[in-house]
Amino acid sequence: MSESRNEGEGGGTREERVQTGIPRLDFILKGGFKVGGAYSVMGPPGSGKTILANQVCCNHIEKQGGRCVYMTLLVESHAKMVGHLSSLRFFKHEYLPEKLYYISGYQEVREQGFTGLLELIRRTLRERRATLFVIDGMESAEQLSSSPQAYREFVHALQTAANLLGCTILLLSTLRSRSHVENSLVDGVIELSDQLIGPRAVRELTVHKFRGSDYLRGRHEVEITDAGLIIHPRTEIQFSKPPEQAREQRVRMGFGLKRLDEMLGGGVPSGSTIALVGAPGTGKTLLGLSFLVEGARQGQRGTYFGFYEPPPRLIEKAEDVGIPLERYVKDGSIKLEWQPPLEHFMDSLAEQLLEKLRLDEPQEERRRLFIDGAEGFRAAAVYADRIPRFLSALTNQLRMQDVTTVITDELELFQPELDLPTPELANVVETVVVLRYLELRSQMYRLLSIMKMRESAYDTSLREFRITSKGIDVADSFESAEVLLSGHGRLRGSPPARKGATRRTVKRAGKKPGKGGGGKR
Amino acid sequence: MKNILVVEDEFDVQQVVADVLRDEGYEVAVCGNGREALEYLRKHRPDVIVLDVMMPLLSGPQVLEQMARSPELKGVPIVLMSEISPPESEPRRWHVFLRKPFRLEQLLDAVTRASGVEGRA
Repeated sequence: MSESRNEGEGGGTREERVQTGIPRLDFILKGGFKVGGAYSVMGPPGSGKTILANQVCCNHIEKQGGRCVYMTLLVESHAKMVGHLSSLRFFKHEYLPEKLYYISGYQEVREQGFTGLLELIRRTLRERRATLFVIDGMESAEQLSSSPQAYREFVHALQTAANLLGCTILLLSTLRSRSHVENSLVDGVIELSDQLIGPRAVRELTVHKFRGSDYLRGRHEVEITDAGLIIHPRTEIQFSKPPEQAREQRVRMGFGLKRLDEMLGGGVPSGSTIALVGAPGTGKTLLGLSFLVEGARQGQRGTYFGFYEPPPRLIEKAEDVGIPLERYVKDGSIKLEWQPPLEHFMDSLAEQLLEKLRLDEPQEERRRLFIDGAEGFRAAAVYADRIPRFLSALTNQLRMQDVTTVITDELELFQPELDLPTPELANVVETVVVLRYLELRSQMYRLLSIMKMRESAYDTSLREFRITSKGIDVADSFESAEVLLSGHGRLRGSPPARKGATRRTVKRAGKKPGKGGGGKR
Repeated sequence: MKNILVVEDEFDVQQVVADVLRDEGYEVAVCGNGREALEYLRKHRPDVIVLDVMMPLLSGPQVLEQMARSPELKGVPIVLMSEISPPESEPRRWHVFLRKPFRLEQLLDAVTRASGVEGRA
């Protein structure tokens, strides 16, 4: 059998690990379970303990040539278990019985007590040359024990046997307190939970203890799919220690809109993140697509990662206003990644995004990314207070990959003041561009302004932002915006407002949009 | 009255199978693993053995292998039961295969069929 060999904490020692093969669990455990260790896996019914253990067995057989014995103590029958597992892709019938062997220990412990059960386990492990042993239903063993001390001695003896035989042990039980006697004896404690948070059913995994090794602490989201368990470590802890040296070279990245790029001093610096903030229909998506298309024109790869509009609709929308998105999608310079409006996991979304960027063109520098929008991540968040740290970690990671990111965030349609739904976004991005509506004389206008641009000079003026069938455009100067804001708005194509005309001050932007010619797209 | 030996490590399955067979009028003995079964077979010769594959100490196929070496036990009808089909490559030392999970009528049918094949293994 081959074992993985991993760098231990401190960098000097190398140790053998049983890889779980469960997506990202080995990352959380910094390599997997230690060979010869005993680990408690606890959780309520339905939290995924049995799937986890069987998945570890099957992966251990497939990837490390291991041999597994799975003992049940008054849990579901083997036939039922195999029936349920058969629908999961990791489970292979051909492993039974030679490499994956199911036995019951209930009768033994019931009739012979722990002495008989230990004897049975020791013999079975030796005869089957097992490298991984699972006991499913430890609570039954505890209930059958004559005293807490007898149970403690049983767990201790199991550990000794595991160490001697070089066999790793997983002890599965229903949820028990972290200070339970079993948990104080074993080398590691993993808790699986399954709870309702609001209307959502959320499964999570927490490592409470892992002797002799570093691990990722805290709760991590768990998905059960037809591939088995998938763990999504919290993004902010995955990338909690970004390297000091990022790759970005600070080249200006334009939107392909002359005036806007001028306002930005030539564009946003490569490797930075820019937030486009505005009410629905103010043109955020079109501006973001324009950013991608401009990159494609310059030979830079771009990715759209959005939640609301499927690719055909997006292409149609862009082409309607003269943004040639389709040709760059067809030639592969721009990839459209649409997340259907389902219940997502925030960390899973971040993983998907980073994975795509990592796999697609990892060698390419100065890639562009358009995330449409931040509210997609917000909606997927189980714990809202994680959002600031999550966004910070995600944008840091994108910076490290030299990805220049445009991310939209939506304001309420009838919002009198600029009140960001994700205020933290303004802190983690380098540039904030605000798009807003202005209603004047039965016509809707759009205004654009740069609210913030870190470490760079920028034009602070408010500009009119137009969307027509010929394209999107930012006004040459602040005058048109000034005219609008001062109440001197005019119908497009009509002569300028008469000097000395009555002035009316517009105190706030973003009133209810009317049905004027400059309406939203 | 026919004697049946049920060799099964899962206590619940073992008890249900034994009870059903008893209700049908069979004499039933039970063993929880392969080693116990071989000990029992040193002293008794059942008419049919209902044998599980995966068990502690000795597996079903290991029991069959030992039985094949014993002239006294050769030919005892075997109902082999398992969650997976037996591999084609292994010698066929059983008479009727019963896939788990099974319904009671399938169990009874398997035992009836096995009863009729004595001596033909």
